[in-house]
Amino acid sequence: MNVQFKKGVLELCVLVLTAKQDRYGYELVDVISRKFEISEGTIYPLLRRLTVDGLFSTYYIQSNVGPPRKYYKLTDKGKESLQQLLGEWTLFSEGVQEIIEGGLRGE
Amino acid sequence: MNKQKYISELSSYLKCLPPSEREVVLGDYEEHFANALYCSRDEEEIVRSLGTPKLVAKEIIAQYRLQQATHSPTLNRITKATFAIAGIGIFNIVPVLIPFAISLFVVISMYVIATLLLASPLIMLIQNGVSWNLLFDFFWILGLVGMGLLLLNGLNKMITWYYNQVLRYLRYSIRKWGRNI
Repeated sequence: MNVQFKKGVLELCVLVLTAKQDRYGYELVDVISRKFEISEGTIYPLLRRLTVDGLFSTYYIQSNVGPPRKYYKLTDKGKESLQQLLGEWTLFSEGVQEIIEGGLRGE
Repeated sequence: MNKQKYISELSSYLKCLPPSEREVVLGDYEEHFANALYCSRDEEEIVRSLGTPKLVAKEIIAQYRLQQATHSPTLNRITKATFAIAGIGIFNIVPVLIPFAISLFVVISMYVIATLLLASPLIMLIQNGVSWNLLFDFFWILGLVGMGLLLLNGLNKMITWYYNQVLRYLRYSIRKWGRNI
């Protein structure tokens, strides 16, 4: 898939995946890379940036099965940021979709 | 390359980060390996899909530098961030470094002009020595010094705005040219 496409939406994907449940880093990598191919190492710098910027808070959970995991929880600031990005994305993708449909119909 | 080698290579590339920051970053990658291995993935394959330690480190350092510069903008921090972002890939060098170099040159030139204006009485003194001319030029000199003060004052106000513009451009650059996805 086009690299520029992925760069634009990676942040949105990470934010939206944590909207309803807290997730750990590997889980995010796993869910996203099932949908499109990513270099797995890039998620962590992104998560770090969003955490430092105050969009995520983190906590550790020691699990009986499997390794301990750092969970990412969306803060209020993170939720605001998600809403804004989501709005922008919806507007953008609907616009592109209309252009595609129009173009294919030959309008 | 195996996990051990990957982490130790990454660690050595991240030497320029403060220890606490480096620990957090390395912890994330340790955790990634632990989880991926737990899902019974092959170690070599995990390493391949992470991207090379060098590239990952460059991205992390660029992000860290930019974050530091944003937190409290100084020329030193902004320069470091610019070089870190320019260094992510060869295609970054021109679009990241050139605008910064040109704009910085303009800003510095204006500071030099302000300094020269402020120093104009001294310069005239050295050039002409103490003479009637000096008294004659009094108002002329006063005007030059006044202009220097005004320019300096304007520059000091402008510099914050300038830093913010550079930071905005750097954030845009890291989005566009960073992240080796």
